[in-house]
Amino acid sequence: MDRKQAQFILSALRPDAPEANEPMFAEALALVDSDPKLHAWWQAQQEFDRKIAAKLEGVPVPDDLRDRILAAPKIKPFPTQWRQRILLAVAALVALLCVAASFWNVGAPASAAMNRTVFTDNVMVALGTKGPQLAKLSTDHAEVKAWLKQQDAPVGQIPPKIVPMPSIGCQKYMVAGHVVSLICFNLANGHEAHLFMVEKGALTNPPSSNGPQYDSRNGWNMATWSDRTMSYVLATNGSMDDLKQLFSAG
Amino acid sequence: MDPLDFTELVDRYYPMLYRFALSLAHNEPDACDLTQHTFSVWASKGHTLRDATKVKSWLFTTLYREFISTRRHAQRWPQEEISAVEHELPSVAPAAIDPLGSSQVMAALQALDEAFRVPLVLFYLQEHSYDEIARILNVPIGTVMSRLSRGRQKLQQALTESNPEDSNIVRLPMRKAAGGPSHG
Repeated sequence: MDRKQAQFILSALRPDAPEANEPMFAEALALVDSDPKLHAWWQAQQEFDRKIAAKLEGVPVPDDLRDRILAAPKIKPFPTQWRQRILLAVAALVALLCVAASFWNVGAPASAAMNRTVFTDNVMVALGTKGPQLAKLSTDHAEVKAWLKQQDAPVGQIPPKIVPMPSIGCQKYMVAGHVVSLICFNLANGHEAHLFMVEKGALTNPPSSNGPQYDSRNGWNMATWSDRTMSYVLATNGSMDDLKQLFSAG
Repeated sequence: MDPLDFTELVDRYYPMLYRFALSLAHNEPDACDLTQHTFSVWASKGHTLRDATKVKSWLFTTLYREFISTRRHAQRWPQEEISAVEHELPSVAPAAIDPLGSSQVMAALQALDEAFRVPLVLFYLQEHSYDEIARILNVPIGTVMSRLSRGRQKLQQALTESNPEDSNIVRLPMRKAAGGPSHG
């Protein structure tokens, strides 16, 4: 980290904030201690920030605003105790139904297979513009897979060229009654790859098993394919050429 | 705090929500409307929020979204990396702030481009970390950091121009950086 990077990072640090302990800030603050010019800048910036914050806190608030807010009609939510009781009652009912179903060997009907479009549309929603939210963060593939298995989420075959890449983390989704797994990876080119996996039988029209098909949507480049049991979508914010390289021979 | 105590919730957050709203709307009536609307939405939907620690972020997010939807102006938030911030980062001598009134500082903030103003005001309200600001604005962390860095610089310039007798700016020579901590 150089001086400019430290300044950039410290610009996001509030005075006396708990996030100062985060590694990114800690590293920048360590540089402050060893760089007198940076130290002087940091002292001045902190004082500037404190003063601006104090001025902002001094902006007057209309006298009657509080009363107007409190006077507005409002819908009262259930008291917590009641909500808990209702949730417990619902949970008990669900448990009872499950027991009854297993007793009569009825079981819940399997969810109907979904069109591949439904699956990919949900993939796009999960990706958003910035990438998906992850429930489990880990660079260790084994740890990520173990988490997914613990969640009864399917784990298929990771493309061989991605196997050496560190994972970022994973997530589990429900789409039209089917469990979809996601594992995210950091690619060597600095971009990210997001691998969505679903049981092949969950799709009425699974992608081809003869290699990936490529597509671009909403700024994401995607490869879609199936193997014997699973269907996959691999999305990346890297280029299409980089994506195709991940599936090329050699 | 019991998340369902509406009065306590209002007392705790309405001043800072109003100040945030004022920085967005530029006028008191609209800022009051935004603040009231935010609590009105809370009153009808707040019980669906399961995590009581997220109340503050929820309120700020709701207010900001209401502002955006009311104005119907989709501000673009281009992602910026550290390499895009290539100019020097000056610092105003903090004493230059002392003679300024709160209204002058608010006016300087309001004069900033919205892309810089919104994260900067959230930052100076001192209630949100950089990653919370990113979540409220639904932008990458790297963008928030860039906007805070450049926004502060623009604020310092604006305050110096509004107070020309005190132009004691300390400039620190910078080298061009190769990369940064952005996430996206």
